[in-house]
Amino acid sequence: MTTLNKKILYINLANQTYETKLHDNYGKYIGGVGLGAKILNTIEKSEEASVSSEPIIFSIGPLNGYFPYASKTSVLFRHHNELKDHYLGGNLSTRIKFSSLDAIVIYGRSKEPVTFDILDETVIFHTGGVDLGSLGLPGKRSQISKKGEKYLLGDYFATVDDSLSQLLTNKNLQGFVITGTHTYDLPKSERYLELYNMMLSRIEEISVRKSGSPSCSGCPVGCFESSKGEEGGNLLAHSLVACTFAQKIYGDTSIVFSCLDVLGSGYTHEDIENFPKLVYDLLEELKK
Amino acid sequence: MGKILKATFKKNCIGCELCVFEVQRQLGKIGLEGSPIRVFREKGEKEKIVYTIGIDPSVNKLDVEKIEGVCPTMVFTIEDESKEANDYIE
Repeated sequence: MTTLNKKILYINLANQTYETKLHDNYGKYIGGVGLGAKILNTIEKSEEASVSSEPIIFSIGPLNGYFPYASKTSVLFRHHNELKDHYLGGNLSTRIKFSSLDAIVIYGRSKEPVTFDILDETVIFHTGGVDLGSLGLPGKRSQISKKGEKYLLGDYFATVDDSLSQLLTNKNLQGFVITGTHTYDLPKSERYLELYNMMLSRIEEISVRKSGSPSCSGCPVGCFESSKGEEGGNLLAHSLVACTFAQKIYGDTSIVFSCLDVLGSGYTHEDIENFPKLVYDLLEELKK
Repeated sequence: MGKILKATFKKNCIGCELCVFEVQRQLGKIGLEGSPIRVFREKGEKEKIVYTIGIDPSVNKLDVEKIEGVCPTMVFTIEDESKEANDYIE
């Protein structure tokens, strides 16, 4: 497996079309906020870019679905021209992974209220009343929908503030469902299971308490904080996309390299070491 | 004697899906498709999020002790096949 190519699903709400593109030059941005920043930068630099497209970029990293605590989805967008990097809990990251996608870009504005249903790389748009709960495949789906003024994932997981909800409302997007049915072969190396079990056993290093609350996919903690989402923070952890409370584990470049290496991702030590500056500089450019 | 995995304390489930991923690893894959265990989200009383767990009997051919052990909230128990049969007769 190589994670250097990035597969991105672009969804245009204005004309209700979509396309999937494979980018072979986004690999060094790894995933999550790094990949999101590269996508946003590319869109904004392109000749077709218009202010009204207002892209929202949901992106995951190479470890989502493979390792514990890599359980979040990065959401990058502009709100009143301010760059926002939010991180959403729940099960969205694994559904994107098992759709064989690295990111979903939602752009444009629908003239009428719209929802859509993603099954792997296929998108079906729905206008008029549709029960989102009836879409997707049970046990393999994830749903973002409006509850009052807020958009929640699975009626529970939110972002840190209302900016994403306001943007989704402006787009006339009522919500969406994604179902992932792809499976990947278990990495052949025995080291994979050793690493997985080692990381799972380090639960005491997660800097948040268990509370029996709904948990994110792949995280055994079940903390109260999971419902609140995250903003900003460690660039490497948020490119994987790991939980901020697992920073002791995913902030360690040697562990990150081991995880990526066992998946045959093709990254070098230098890629990982140079990565934070690469993404920091790109985010600073986007903030100008 | 055969072992049977049961979701005895499913009200404890926090929806982390570690059991699903463990089952799939034992089957040699990463993903959700074809898993003998599925976790479903339901809306309970007072909008509380509750989960239900669907178990296909084929899971009992796998290492059920490992599946029981990976759950952080001890949802699962393992019963002997003969006890299951006796319970049914009663």
